Amino acid sequence: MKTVLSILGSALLCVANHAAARPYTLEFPESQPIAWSENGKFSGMAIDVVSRLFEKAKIPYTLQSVPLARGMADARNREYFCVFPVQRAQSNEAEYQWVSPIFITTSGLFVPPNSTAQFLVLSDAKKLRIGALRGSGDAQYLKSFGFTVEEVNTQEQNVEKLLRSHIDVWATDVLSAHHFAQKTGTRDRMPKEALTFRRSLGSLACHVKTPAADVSKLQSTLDAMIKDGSLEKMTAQAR
Amino acid sequence: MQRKTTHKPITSWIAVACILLASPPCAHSQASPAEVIAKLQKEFSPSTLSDESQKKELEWFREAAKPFRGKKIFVVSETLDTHKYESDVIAKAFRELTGIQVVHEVTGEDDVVKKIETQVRTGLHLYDAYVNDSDLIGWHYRTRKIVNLSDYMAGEGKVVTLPTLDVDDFIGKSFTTGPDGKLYQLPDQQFANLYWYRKDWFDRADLQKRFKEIYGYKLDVPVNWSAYEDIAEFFTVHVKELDGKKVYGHMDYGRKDPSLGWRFSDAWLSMAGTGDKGLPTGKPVDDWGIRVEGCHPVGASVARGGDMNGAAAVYSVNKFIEWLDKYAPPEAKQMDFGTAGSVPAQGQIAQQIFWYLAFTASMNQPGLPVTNADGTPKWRVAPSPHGAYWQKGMKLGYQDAGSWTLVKGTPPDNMKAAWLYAQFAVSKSVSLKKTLVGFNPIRASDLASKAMTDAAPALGGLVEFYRSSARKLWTPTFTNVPDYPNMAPLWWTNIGAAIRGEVPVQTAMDNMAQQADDIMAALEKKGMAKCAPKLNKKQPPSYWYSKGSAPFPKLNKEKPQGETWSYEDSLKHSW
Repeated sequence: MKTVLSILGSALLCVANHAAARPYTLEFPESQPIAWSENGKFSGMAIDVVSRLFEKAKIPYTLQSVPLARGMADARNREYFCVFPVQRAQSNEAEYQWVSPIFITTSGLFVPPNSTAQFLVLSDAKKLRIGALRGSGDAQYLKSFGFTVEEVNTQEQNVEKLLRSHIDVWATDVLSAHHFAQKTGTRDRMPKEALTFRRSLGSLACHVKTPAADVSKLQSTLDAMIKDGSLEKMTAQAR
Repeated sequence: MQRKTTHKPITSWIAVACILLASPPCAHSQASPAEVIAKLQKEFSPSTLSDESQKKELEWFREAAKPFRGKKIFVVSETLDTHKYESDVIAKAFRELTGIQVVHEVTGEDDVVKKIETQVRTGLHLYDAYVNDSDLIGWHYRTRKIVNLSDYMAGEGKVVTLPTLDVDDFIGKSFTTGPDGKLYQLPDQQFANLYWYRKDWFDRADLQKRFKEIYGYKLDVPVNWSAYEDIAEFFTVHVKELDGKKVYGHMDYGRKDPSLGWRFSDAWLSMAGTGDKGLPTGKPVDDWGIRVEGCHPVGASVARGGDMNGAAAVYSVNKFIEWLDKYAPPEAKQMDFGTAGSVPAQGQIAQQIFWYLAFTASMNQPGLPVTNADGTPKWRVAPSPHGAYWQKGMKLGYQDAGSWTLVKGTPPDNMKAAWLYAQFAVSKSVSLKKTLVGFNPIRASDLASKAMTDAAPALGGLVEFYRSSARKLWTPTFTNVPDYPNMAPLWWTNIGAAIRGEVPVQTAMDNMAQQADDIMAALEKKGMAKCAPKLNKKQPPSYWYSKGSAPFPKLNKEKPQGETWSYEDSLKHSW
């Protein structure tokens, strides 16, 4: 069962037992099925995990849906701001304090259902047009290795471009691919995975001046959630 | 005997492939085994093996992998030419040969460290094998979460251990062997940092004459940091332009990110003279400035007998900042390991004190400003100059082996399939060709080959370095560091702050040493499976200075007379 959080306006304030403490603003980009808002409610696997994490750590927070770029900028520039889920990488390690992993993603290349393309390794897609979500870790990763990546703002656009042969391959995490492939409605329109190419640590990225005690408490709480299996249970329920 | 560790399967909570899977590519089934082997022999040529022996070795892999045909495994390594070749070519060849699909991911080195740390810390099964720097051996040995390969090869993994692996042939074997004599990691690629310079410029009579007039000695390979500094000043301040182009006497990088940490943790302090004499690491104080008694780290700060914030360490960081500010291209301050590495190839840099041989492949391409028309380099690599505190008998630089590492708790069949792939990537069938692509030699047999002799003139001294016994003076971070993943960030965060002028260098190093002591105190409290830290009591510096080992007090004169020697002498006397 998914945790659905009721909100007032665009944010939920969870004061837990620390009414006097300054709440964190936790920002996330709309990305079904990982995190999204609809009719004043927040839903998704990452929302569930992060909410439970802060509640267990007894740290107050609010949730806010923003574009990824703004979330990244806010967490970089504003104290008591965090953004999730962010693919933790060497290139952005220094800009934030991290709590990780809130979940792990596997990314793949997806092709139209009637495609006969075969990929043994990632470089087999070197000469192809690859569609990816703008600003995503997958887009950045592939561009860094010289792949031709066409970025769009929504995954629906990627699916449509793939099915209309405007791109050859769609690169995304398999959870999103599953979600959007199912939304296409029919099996004969369902993109299929042709190659898995990497794993990423989905993480919570917070302002660099986040108090060390809070980071430590959140990380140890997350470790405990992984160890006791509650994170696994929660993410399994959320799918 | 390995302890059993239960790792949690992540298949139920990470996003696994739920999509209708495409039919797995079956390239291996489209050609006959003989055809596949013939194709692979063509790709992996030259090899130190005879055709017949190579064929036999490839056939062995094919047979040993049969129980795992159709399996998919995940491995990860840093972004180097060698690993790109593995990801693009070797993984594909392995799949064609064995039917095992290898997702060989290449990513930033810090990402690799974060991922293996996450797998060890949480017990989550993220990857089936890592190519992880041997720098982490102190942590691996102490946590016991890593598979002891010596025991694995003799026991559970015997059936999938290549009879012709020849572990003694690996030149980095000592880097990946624990104090207990057991092999914990299998070297996959190896590189050192050396002094790089434009020999063609250094040989010019006009520049020779001008340098002598200004500095009073010969423009040549610097023996000490004083000479390096003089040469840096000479090119940036006095020469300024050559052939119509701005030139610089120094290149480095200063962006505050994890790769800045390696610039220092990769033996920079010991090149200045931090620590004690001893190989592969100083005893009792190592190149990070950590003091060890028995096998127990006892302190990083001078107060506890370490040298992380000692005079030599502070001198080393001061020189780094001074040279970056005065003599490097202005944009170098914003560069990192990846972006700075190939800058000398653009033809405007006269010398670089700390140059990773990992960038050799980007430096000897035809048509580059640093390459002659006949393909030979205008540059050379030579022994690194040393700082004012350095003493003969200390390590002279850094060398490391990125090495195959298996984490306990990996599903047994995945581990076996990954171990097969790891051995394939370093097998004698494959390793010579791989070395000629990425220039990160791992096998003595490859180094002794005619192919390497033939390649030597184009490699600016790389082959000569590896063939000499002097390579033993270049060593990795060793077993003194008890928790590399959690201690490594101390370097870039603290020294990065000093580079940006946020704190004085002495304060930055004091903070870093204190934080290192704090981490070790926490490890002492928590306990480790082996050789946990046992911190010394704090003492005044004079207490430690009287011991006759590091830490040593500040020198009155940190810039002695500059000294240079010829390239030939540097080879003869230093290596």
